[in-house]
Amino acid sequence: MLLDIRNLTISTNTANGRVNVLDRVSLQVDEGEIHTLVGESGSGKSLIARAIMGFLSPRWEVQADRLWFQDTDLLNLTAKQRREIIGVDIAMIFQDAKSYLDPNITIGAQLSEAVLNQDLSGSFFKRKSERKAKVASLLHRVGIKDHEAMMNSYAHQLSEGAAQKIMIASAIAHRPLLLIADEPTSTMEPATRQQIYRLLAQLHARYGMSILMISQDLGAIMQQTQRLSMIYSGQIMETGGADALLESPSHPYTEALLNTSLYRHAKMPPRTRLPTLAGAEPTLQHLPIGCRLGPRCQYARPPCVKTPSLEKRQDRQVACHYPLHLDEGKK
Amino acid sequence: MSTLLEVKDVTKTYIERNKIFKARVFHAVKTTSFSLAKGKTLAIMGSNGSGKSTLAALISGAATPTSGDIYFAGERLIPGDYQQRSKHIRMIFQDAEASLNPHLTLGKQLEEPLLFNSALNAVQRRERIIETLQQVGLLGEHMMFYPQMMSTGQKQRASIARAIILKPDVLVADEALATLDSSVRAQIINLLLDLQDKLGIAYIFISQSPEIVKHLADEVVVMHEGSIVERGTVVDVFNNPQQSYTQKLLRSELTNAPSDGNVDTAFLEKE
Repeated sequence: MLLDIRNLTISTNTANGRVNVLDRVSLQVDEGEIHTLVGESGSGKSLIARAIMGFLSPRWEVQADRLWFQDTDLLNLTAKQRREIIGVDIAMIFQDAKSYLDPNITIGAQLSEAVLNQDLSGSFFKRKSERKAKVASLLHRVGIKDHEAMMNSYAHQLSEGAAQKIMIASAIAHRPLLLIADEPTSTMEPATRQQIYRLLAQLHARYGMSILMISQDLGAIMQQTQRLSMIYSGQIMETGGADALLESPSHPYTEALLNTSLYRHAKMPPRTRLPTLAGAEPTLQHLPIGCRLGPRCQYARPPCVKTPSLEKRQDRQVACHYPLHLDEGKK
Repeated sequence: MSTLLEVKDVTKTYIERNKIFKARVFHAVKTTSFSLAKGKTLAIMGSNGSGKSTLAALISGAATPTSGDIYFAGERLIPGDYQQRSKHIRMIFQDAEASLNPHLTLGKQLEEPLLFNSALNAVQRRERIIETLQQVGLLGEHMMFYPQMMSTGQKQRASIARAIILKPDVLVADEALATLDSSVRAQIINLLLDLQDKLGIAYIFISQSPEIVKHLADEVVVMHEGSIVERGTVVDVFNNPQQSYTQKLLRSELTNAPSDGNVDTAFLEKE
């Protein structure tokens, strides 16, 4: 197992006291797997990514039974140890790629920074040309053919898709074992999104790189996704094989998200009212006790005020007292 | 069915003067005409830079056409006369988070269009605001709320309330659903459909998503590099797209299947 998170809880102080923004989240990523984490905005999915990378500011308190990458405990690392892992074995790409690029220096200069000395073999005097060749090959790897022109351009000259390719290029400079992609395509137009997905799928197939993909829409997840986790308001609702989950969701939240996705309703007559989850996602100040989906869930019953734990049911793990479409314990 | 809105030979040209004697001319919208009937929905599709947002700005009055005219129920809409236009055509924007004024309560923001464009007194304005808030699924109490106290879905409802408070006949929605979470998007789609049935508003939907267009629109116009390349009813265009551009637009988005892309794999193999 590449990444093993058990009962990750992240809390912060608000005006109404201490709040567990993430509530005992468990997530596993195996070697060579594409795992997609789906949740709506504010559900804490980016917090998980940031906790793994160690980006969180001290006002977020991170606690976990396990937060391991291979056999390293990510929770207790010195800054030096962390540098040896983050950016080398774990890399991350972000949503708004353009704003993560330095506007002042050329793309070539930025990518050179990502190439470490230890990756170069030649003598000191050959390093400059060697580094340039490395950058060119990185650009080729993400499908940019004209590397000269690209290395001399600045971030503002790039399109959204090209900027994201540059981010991917610098992320894969050290052949990371795990790539965390935090909504890399959500601001792109659909054709460019497909391009980026294809590129990631190719890198995955070629290098066996694991990808933890973070997405906010079940309709736009990568086709190659093997495992799917649903997160709602800081609680993992369901985890399992992507095909199985999309075929027959066991958690009311997965079902509701599938229902609201227009992609699922290709055969539906136009102008039909879509089935929706009533209400809105709870704010941090007013988190419900127990299962946080409770107030919006049409199947909710009194026991739902007790937080259900993520339990293995058949081929998946479900955190629900009354899971759907499962033979055992049918409602 | 009578025509409500008619766009006649509208063009929009931007001139960029970055050198002293040379000017680069950019035709954002080339000669474009179409019309919209009462209570119908027209969708404008196209990839980035196809001029669809410029067209929306022209219709809503945010930009002045270089040539051509827009008629509302036979009456010419004069560029710059916002009083005349805002009673008929209103707009909702993509980013619900940014389109409301954070300094004003929702009640004050909804009151502004009424102050400028109607002769209602304070009591009538208040009644109208509460009525409109209820129409979009909010409560009268939301008058007291500042935008940051509301969720994204509620903010988008509030901007819809601001758009319909003057009882317009045409609503221009520029990618109004694109950034919403899917459960919120479904709620807003239902709301827009309900409002259309109840109030008979005509919509102009700018969207890149074929699913949304297919679900909401009656007619569709496909734009490419500033001109309309294909138009027709949604059923016709979606079932039998004539232009290869339209086919590509519909295919690349409707299915998740990989098509011939620009990512070059030859380099991957070589290494």
